[in-house]
Amino acid sequence: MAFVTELPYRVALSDGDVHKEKQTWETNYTPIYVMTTIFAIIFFIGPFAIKKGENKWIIKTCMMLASFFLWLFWVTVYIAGMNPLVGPQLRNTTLAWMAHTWV
Amino acid sequence: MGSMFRSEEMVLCQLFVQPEAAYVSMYELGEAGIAQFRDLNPHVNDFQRRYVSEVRRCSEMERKLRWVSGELPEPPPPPIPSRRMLSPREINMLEEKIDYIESEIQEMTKNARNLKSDYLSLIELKLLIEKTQTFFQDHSAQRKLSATVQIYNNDAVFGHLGFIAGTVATSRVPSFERMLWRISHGNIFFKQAQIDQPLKDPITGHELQKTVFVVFFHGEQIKLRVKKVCFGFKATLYPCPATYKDQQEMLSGVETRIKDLEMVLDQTEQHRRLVLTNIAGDISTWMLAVRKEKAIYHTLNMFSMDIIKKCLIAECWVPKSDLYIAQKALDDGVKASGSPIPSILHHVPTREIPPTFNRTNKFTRGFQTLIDSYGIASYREVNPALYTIITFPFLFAVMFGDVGHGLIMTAFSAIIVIYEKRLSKNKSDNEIWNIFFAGRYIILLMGIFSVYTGLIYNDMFSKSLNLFGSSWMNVYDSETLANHTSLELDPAVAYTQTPYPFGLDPAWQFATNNIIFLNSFKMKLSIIFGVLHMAFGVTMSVVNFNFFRKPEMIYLQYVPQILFLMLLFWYLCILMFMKWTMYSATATDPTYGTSCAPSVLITFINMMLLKGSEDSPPCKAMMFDGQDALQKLFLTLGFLCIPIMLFGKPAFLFWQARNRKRHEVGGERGEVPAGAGGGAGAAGELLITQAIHTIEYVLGTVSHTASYLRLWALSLAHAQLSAVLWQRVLRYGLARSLAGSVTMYVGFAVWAFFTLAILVLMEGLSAFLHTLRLHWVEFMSKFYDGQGYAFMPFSFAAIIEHDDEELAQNGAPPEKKDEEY
Repeated sequence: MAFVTELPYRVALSDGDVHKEKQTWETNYTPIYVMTTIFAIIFFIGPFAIKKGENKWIIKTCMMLASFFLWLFWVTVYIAGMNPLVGPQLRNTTLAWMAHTWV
Repeated sequence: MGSMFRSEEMVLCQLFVQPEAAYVSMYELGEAGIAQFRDLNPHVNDFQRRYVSEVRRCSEMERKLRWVSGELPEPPPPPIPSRRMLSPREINMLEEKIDYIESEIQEMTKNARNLKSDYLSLIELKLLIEKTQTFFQDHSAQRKLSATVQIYNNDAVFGHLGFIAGTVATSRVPSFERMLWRISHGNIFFKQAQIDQPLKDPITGHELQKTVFVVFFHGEQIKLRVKKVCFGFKATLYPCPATYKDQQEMLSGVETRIKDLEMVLDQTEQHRRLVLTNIAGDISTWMLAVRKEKAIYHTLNMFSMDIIKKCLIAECWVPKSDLYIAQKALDDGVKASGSPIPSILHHVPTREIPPTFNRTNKFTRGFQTLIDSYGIASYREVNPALYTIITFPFLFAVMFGDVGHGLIMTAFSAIIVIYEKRLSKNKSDNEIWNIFFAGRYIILLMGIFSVYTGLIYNDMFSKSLNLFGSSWMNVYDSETLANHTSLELDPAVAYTQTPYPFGLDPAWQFATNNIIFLNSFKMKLSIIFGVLHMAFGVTMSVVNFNFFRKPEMIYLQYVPQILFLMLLFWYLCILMFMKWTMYSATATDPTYGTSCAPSVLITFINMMLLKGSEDSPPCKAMMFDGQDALQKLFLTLGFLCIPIMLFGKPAFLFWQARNRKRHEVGGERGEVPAGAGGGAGAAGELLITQAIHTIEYVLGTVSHTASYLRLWALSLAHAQLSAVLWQRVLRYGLARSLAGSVTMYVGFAVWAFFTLAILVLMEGLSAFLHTLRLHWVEFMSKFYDGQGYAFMPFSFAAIIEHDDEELAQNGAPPEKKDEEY
């Protein structure tokens, strides 16, 4: 199965709009900033929001642990996906459908 | 500090109480459930203890109450909890009342039984007469002889034949007939007719099949034999008149008596039911009061009696923060008894190891139980249950990650949690339900985390959600697509270079090479989590060293352990992150392109084996400059840690003992210092123990790190099972004609059943078990001592939980197992 690298282009099959130029994209780091900020708020500032209660230490510990692990999980997936070395191998029907609906 | 960080501080107390004040004080202590009493009379026989007669009395009352509640038609309503305690006078009154009720009900039952046997006899007699009419009428030729019927010796005589009539159990009829035949040498005439409707046995209530029989014989001898046989076969004999007229008279008489008896029986039953209903409401409350009293007296039996001061002495473990409750209980007892002598609560400083007590609420109890199942924590060591609240559901969710299944789990557990008050009232015997109910908060958290990890894995019943727009796109023209059935997207051109913002890209779900990408990614993820979890575990030991004032152990044990772990395995994780960030399909320099990306595992193995590798242009052997030197440095440092782990602690203890000996020898002449003789032996043993620990830890770092790969394995299995179910079961019903709706109906049923049974229940149980193992073995073996014993206080709540089951023979309150809600 050969694939074409010198002429990458996107095809919208419904209206036959065909772009033949090579498109380049820049990596967008916004999601990392947003998610890290959200989880950092929960991790650093959240514990100060719980001031009283019999179980306040348990709640604080749980908030910190949970926010750390959930953030770590998310960031690992994100970094793993930043520079993929292989791409998905799809059926031609799936590719056509993707081009049609996911534009 | 938080209540779950480490177990509570316990104090050994001695209580001095007057016997009059003891009962009230014990009642309050039982309600509070804060004191674990020690048996001060271990060598005394149970029957020689002080309060044995009271315990016996309570056991009797309990037995009577249990019998009465067994007589109730339906289970009694639950007890009304009342904090009011019963004074001894009230207890006596209660005892009398229970006695009276029990005898009354017993008498009623006996009467009813007698009435019922009479009733049964009458019914049998009536049926006998009805059936035997046919026998006597058969012999129409003999009717002439009926005029000459003689009453011979008050026995029924028919013609020249005597007869005996009665009923016998149907099952015995063949052998009965055979026996009669044998003993009479065939000289009897046996007629039988089965009673169609079964009759009720008055005593057992079972239904009996009976047969009416008439035996005709001639002669006195045979009559005696027949009677003996009837007696042997437990046949009931009835006087049956021979003539038709007499039979009719008897029949009418019997019928009248039956009607009367039915009325009496009815009224008796009603009266009995009335009495039972009246007391049904109170039975449970009385039972509770009696049980509490028995528990109090049983505990009082553990006290020792001080002859001189005539007061009772008890020893108990009490949590330090609950001492004021114990003091209040004693004061209340003194006040209630009106005694001028106060009760004394006295701290006893001791070297004994106290029990381990972790105060839990309904949420944390489940997690504490999980940890305690492995081993009760040693006194005041750090409690892993606090962290298990989050790490357990999280690691479960990494293995279970599916939005759909997570939602099912969350919904199920949320319903149980919302209705927990109502559900906890119905005490169930079903073991599986009790386990689910006790773990409802664990399941709730597992479900919530599974929804999160499912969103990140982008897996909902094996379908992905495209919420933010995929980063992969089609780059082929329609001609290429038409000519090739399957095409691979090159990340250099078909990828927007920005990953999907939350989780895995939805395009991967359709990919046939899905597994290749996911395997590599999930394995790395598992190792990262594993190393972090284990490092966390090793760091917990610092908390213990700090608390138990062994700062030298931090340098001799913790530092080498953490260095060994991090220098080798966290470096592996750093390599993973570097490979993810440094190598790209769009790299202009081919050294950092896709074909040159090194295998992290091979790099790590080469590092450990000190194997160099060659550059093969354009690819470089190393990922960054100085990697080789850095790796050698890490390896050396790591292996230098091993002798520190091995000899550090023994050397320190040896040096410490030598210092102590030097001081002692200087201070006391001529006295052999205590550690000298056992010095050599003890040192050898210490070295061996330390060697075992070191080998265990070093090998453990490798094997436990690999063990975390089960996070990858189980999530892969779950995803594959889910995909199989969708593609092979549910898809056949979709997008078909009207007839396909039937297929869809059936297909959905099968799909839903297997989803719940296999994916949620079985996989859930499997992931739960693996997570538990990861916690117990990989996490807790790094720091947990677990040599403690549980705190089992004298508590009414615990005793009532274990109701009728497991009441010990001597009436002792049962051992407190892991508490249920």
